[in-house]
This record gives sequence, C-alpha cells and structure tokens, in this order.
Amino acid sequence: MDRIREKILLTKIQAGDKESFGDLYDLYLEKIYRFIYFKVSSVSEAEDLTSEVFLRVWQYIQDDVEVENIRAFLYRVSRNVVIDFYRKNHGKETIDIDDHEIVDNLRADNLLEKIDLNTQIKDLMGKLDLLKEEYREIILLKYVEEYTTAEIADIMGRSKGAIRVLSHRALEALKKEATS
Amino acid sequence: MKDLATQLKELNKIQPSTQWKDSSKQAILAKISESSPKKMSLWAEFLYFAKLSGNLFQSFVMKPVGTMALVAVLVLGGGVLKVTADNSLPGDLLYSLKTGGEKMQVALIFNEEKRVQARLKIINERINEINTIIANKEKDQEAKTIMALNNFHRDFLPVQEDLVSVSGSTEAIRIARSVEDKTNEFGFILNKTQDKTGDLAQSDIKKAIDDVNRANFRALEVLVVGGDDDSQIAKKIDTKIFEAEGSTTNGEALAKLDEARLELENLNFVVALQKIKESSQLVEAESNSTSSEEVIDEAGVVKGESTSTVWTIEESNKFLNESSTPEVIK
Repeated sequence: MDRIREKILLTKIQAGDKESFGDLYDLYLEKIYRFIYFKVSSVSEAEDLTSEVFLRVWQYIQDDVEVENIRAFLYRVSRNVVIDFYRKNHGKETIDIDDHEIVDNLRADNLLEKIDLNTQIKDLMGKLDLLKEEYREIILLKYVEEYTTAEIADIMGRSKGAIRVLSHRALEALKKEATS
Repeated sequence: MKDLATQLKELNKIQPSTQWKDSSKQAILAKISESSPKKMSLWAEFLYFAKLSGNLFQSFVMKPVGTMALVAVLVLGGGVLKVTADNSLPGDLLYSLKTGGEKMQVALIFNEEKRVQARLKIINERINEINTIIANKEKDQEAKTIMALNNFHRDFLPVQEDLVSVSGSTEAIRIARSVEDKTNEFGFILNKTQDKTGDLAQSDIKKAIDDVNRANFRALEVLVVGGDDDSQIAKKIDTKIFEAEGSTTNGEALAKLDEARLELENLNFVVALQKIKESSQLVEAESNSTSSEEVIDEAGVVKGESTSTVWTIEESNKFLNESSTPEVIK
C-alpha cells in the first residue's frame, strides 16, 4: 500500500505538482533529517543539508532524472549531499555533538526526561560514531527508522541477504562497543 | 538499563524543531515555485505514462517478444495503430498517441462552438477511461485511476475558460446549453463512479465532480445572462434548488434556498442563482470545518482539503457584470 502511495506521489511530482512535493516533504523530513544528523552531528548543519536534499530532489525530478523509488532516491541524494559537505569542509575542524542543540530538539515531555534522554543519546551516538559508516547507516535504518529488510535493501542498493548479514554484524559491533 | 534495541529506538526522538520544519517547508515550496512550471514533451509524457504502468515501455523494448509485437503493429500500418491507440488507457504504450491526436484535433477547429463540442467529447472519453480502469481491476488500478482523473481535470479546464471567453457572443447560448447538458450527464456518472473508487483516489474524484459542478453553474449563468428561454431556465434553477435542498440539513443554507425559490417565482433568475450560491457557500463552510478535523493518512497523501464547488460572491458578481450584454440573445 505504501509503495502505491509513494508511486502516486512520485508520478504527481514528476508532473510538476508542488503540493505533492509538500506531502513528500512532510512524509520524509524527519527521517532524512535524522539520517543526516547521524552523519554530521550538528543541528544547524543537518537543517541546512536536509533543505538542500529536498531542493536537489525536486530539481533532479524536474530535470527528468529517472527515479524508480522515491524513498531510496531521497536517501541516495542525502548521502551525496553529506559527501559534498565533507569534501567542501575537508581539513576544517571536526563537528562535535552539541549538547544544547540536542536537548532543544528532542521530543520529550519534561525537562528531566529531556536531560536523561540527552545523556543516553549522547552516549549512544558516541558509540555509534566508533562504528563503520555503513554499520551506522544500517543501524539507523533498521532499529531507529524500523524499515524492513527489503526497504533497506532498496535504500542501500544491496541484496536482502547482504542487508541481513550487515545488520547482524553492525549490531554485534555496537554491542561490543557498548560493553567495552 | 534498557536493552540496546529499545535505546536505539529512542533515537527517533531526535527531530528538527517544529519552527524550522515549517519555515523550511515554506522556503522550499517558495523556491520551487520560482522555477518555471514543467512542460512535458509528448515523448516525455509517453515515457512517463509507460513508467507508471510498471515499466511497460521497458518490457516492450527490452523483451524480444514485445519488440516483435511493436514492430508488427508498426508494420500493419497507421490504421491499426490508431484503432489500438484509441482504445488505450493511461499507462498504456500508445496512450500518448491518443491524447496527442486529440490535442491536434482540437487545435485544428476554429469554430468556437465546434471546439467546445470536441472538448466535451474528449472529456467524455476521459470518463470512459476512468470507468474502464475501475471495471478492469488492473494492476496499479488506483494509480491509473488518479492519472485518469488528473487527465480529466486537465482537459476540463479549457471548457471552463471557453465558457468565460464566449459570454456575450452569439454562440454563447448554444455553447452554454451543450456544456450545461453534458455536465449534468458527467456529474451523474462521476457520482456513481465515486462509490466504486478506492480511498486514495477519493480527493481526485471529488475534484473532478467539483470541476463539473462549477462548469454546470457557469453554463447556467451564461444562459441566464444571455436570456435563454425563461421556462427552461426556471426549470433548471428549480432543479438546482431541489438538489441543493436534498443534500443539506444546514438550517441557514435551507433558508437561503427558500429565498432562492421566492426569487425564482418572481422570475428574478440572477438573484435566485446568487441565493443558491450563498447556500452552497454555507454548506461548504460547514463541510470545511468538519473536514479540517479529518486525519491525514500515514502517507500524507489524502487530506481534508477544501474544495470549492461554486464561485465566491465576488467572482460571481465580476462574471455577471462582465458578461452582461445589452443585447438579449434569443
């Protein structure tokens, strides 16, 4: 059902329907933001790069770039945007996780919960940072976004078998870091 | 200590701020609105529909059997190709040939009345396509239905524009009669089709029905302004009041309809139409306040958007003033 919905959305966007692009934005903004945040660890950079991803996607589609799966395409563009960002900023100072920014942007009911979550997330993000890039990515897609193996295979452009193996290894690597 | 999977799941609480989400969306939509609207070439349109139907195009070109079939069709000649294209549906290989042919046909008609007739015939074909897609229960049925409804909307717009441009001309009454007549028929069919259409296509079919209602009302206004036969007009307005009464329980709207009937009895057709419009606006306002509570589905595709079935008072007055002609056409 989701595939049909996305297909309809894609066909409408391909026809230049801006309202449908707004729907796509609503549908994927948070996921794409998290995907990028996981890679750049800075709220302001994640915001800028997320906006850039959506603008690029619109432009690619209007330029008749062939898109089969809009979700996979969004993630692919996100990956490229982050790569470009690091190329441009090569040699500049490393970006660290900003405590204040994470707390401000967390969804939590009260301040104590926010602080607790912040500590937990900071700790976990620190451990994730020690993993290989593709392990981090698969952990985000599988355990945070809760995509199915088939969906992750589409997004990462790998076979379902490869995704199963990779996610198992990624989780093992994370457990190892967590206990060390 | 929470287990690792639960801890990881909590990372989805990392979210951009609501303020940034909204401002960024507005900025992005404003930026893409600056870019010129995309004009699809016939070829691009062809590829686009082919892709929607599950890469039919690729299947035909890549698979030898498909290629042979395509070659055979081409060899058999234009006549067969045309017949095949005429029976094609959105997503079919030859559909762009069909719509391209239709566009060409309309472009070659210089008589306004005949051009509107040709456009109404094309719209009729769009409705047939919608019903064929639904009846055939094909693969990607909903996506194809939505495409067909979008095509309907696209092809219906010129008819609405024609109604404005012909007002005051000698053909106005005849054109308005055709449009009024056909839109009654289209409205009837689309209302029946709505029951058979899936959830995803509901907003699009509603839009199509709105298109039809709007054109129907405009046609009636052209007839009133143009001075068509009084008894015919009175009958049509009476039917409109009757239908409107049956579709609402809103007290204020019903009161407006009573006023419309009173004006009709005094043969004040323009005022009667105005009252019907005011009644519709009250119903619409009520419906909008209800639909705004409608939950956006998980894909964010179906939403409780407001749809206007009639003109606003300003739009209507502008139209009636512009259309008024001292010469009554009988």
